Amino acid sequence: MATEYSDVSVRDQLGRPVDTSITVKRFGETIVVEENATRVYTNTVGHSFILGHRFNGKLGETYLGMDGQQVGLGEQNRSGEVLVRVFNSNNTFIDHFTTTNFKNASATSADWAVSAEELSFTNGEVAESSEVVYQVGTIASAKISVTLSSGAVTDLAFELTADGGSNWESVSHNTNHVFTNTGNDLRFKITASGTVVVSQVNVEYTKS
Amino acid sequence: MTLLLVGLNKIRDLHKDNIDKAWVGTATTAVLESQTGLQNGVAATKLTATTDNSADKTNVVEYTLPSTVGTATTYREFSFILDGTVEYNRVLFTGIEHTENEDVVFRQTIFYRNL
Repeated sequence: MATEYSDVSVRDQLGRPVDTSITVKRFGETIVVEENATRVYTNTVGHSFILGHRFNGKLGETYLGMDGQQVGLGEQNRSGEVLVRVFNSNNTFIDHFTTTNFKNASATSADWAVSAEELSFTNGEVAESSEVVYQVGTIASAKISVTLSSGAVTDLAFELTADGGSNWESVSHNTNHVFTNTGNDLRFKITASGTVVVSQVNVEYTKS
Repeated sequence: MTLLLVGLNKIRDLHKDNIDKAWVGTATTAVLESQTGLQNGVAATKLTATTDNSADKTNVVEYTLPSTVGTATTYREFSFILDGTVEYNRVLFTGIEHTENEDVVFRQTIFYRNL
C-alpha cells in the first residue's frame, strides 16, 4: 500500500492564524495492471469444413480440401493447438501462480497452488515451468528472482535452461546468468531444501 | 486500508467487460506509450476477443485469427481493443506468417494487484 502525505491549508474561521497549516495524512492505493506473458498457438485446418475457406469451404466439389481429401464437419484432422511463440513485455516473465498455465506438471512435485496464489515447497520438492519465452530469438542471458511469503531464499536452488531443458544451468538468485548453452526456449526450475512459500517469480532475459 | 480481493476482482471484471476485440498488424517500430494503437494494423483482422476471468485478479484474453482472414501476411504486432475503439496495448513479437492452412490463437494474461 502506498502512502501519500499532503499539506492542506485550513483556514480556521474561529481565530486560528491564516498562515497555520495542518498536515493531513492521506491513504492512497496503487493498483498495478501487469501485462504478463502472451502465448501464441497455431491450429491447422486439416480436413475440417470451414465456410468461406478457399479450399475447405468450397461447395459443389466432389473433393473439397487443399490436399484433395474429403472435407467433413467438425475437427477433421486438425492438428490441435501447437505453441509457436511466448513473449513478454519488457523482456520479463512474471507469474503470480493464479493459474497453472506455466507449470510443467510432469516435472513438478511442489504445490503450484492456484487458490492460494503461491508455489509451496517442502524439503526436496521441485517446481519446473513450461516455456516462459519461446521462439522469439536466441536467449543470451537471464536472471531469476522470487518473492517469498515464508521461508528463506537460501533454501532454494535455481536453474535455468535456454534450450528447452536439454541443458539446465545452475544460477544464483537475482543474479544475471550468461548461458553456456543458448537457445530459444527459456524455462526455470526451483528445488527446495526446506519449507518455502513463493508468491511471485520474475525471470528477466536478454536476447542476442 | 487496502483493496480487498473482491475489489481487485471487480476491477478485473470491469476490464473484461470492456475488452471486446483485438487485431494484428505488420509494423516493427518500437512501442511507445504515446502511440494510440497498432502502427500498421490490418483492418480485416479486427475480430471479437473473449476473456476468461475465472482466476482471481487475472484475465486471460483470447483472440483467434482464422484461416479465412488476413492470410499470406506476416504479423508482428498485436493489440486489444476496448469498447470497439480504444486500443488498450501494443505488443511486438517475432513475426508469424499466417497462411490459409491454420488458425492462429493469441492468449495474453493480465494481472491486477496492489503495489
